[in-house]
Amino acid sequence: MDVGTALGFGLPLGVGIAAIGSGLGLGRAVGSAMEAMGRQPEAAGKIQTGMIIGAAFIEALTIYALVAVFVLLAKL
Amino acid sequence: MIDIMGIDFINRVAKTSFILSLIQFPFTAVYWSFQNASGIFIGCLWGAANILLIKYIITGLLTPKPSSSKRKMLILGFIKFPLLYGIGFLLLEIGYFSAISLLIGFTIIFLVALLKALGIYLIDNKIINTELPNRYNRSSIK
Repeated sequence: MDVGTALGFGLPLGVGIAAIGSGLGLGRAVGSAMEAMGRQPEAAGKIQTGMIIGAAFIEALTIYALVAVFVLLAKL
Repeated sequence: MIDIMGIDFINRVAKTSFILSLIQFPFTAVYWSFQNASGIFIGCLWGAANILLIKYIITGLLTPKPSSSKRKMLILGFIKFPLLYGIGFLLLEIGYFSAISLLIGFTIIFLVALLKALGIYLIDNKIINTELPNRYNRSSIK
């Protein structure tokens, strides 16, 4: 198998795995934040801020994977 | 008392990142290239728009509001998911801006958030002393 074929197989698979990981992470983070907000409604503002930043961080990882795919696609 | 880690923290992070990307622009344009400078700037705008839209969608969905805000949520959701990702895809596909510069710009907002949170943590735990020395303290002047 040459490099081009390996990249052709690997790149979509990599983005898919990144998206699955990001989805699982986001679900877990948001679920826990909702639970925490339900338990402590007075701290909802702080929990929301942490959740939003965490969500953005998780989402950024998928975008990094996508950009990495674009960079590698140029080498195909 | 001002809630320093409240929802306004995200606005401050976006504002600081925008200012930082403006400051880096002339230096990067001179010492690296104009394409990369504008790539970093646009990447930063992309990241700021991303985090601000997440904030609006989450706060809009969590706070109980009249049904008229549903349309606003739909519009924001449309801007956030297909449009913002579409713009990102186009930016990468066009190839005018290098992917690395876009990534650097996109990362600025996370670095700013991390450093701001670290600063708040250090000040709150009195690891860094922010009190003025006695000679500058107005209460000590008689």
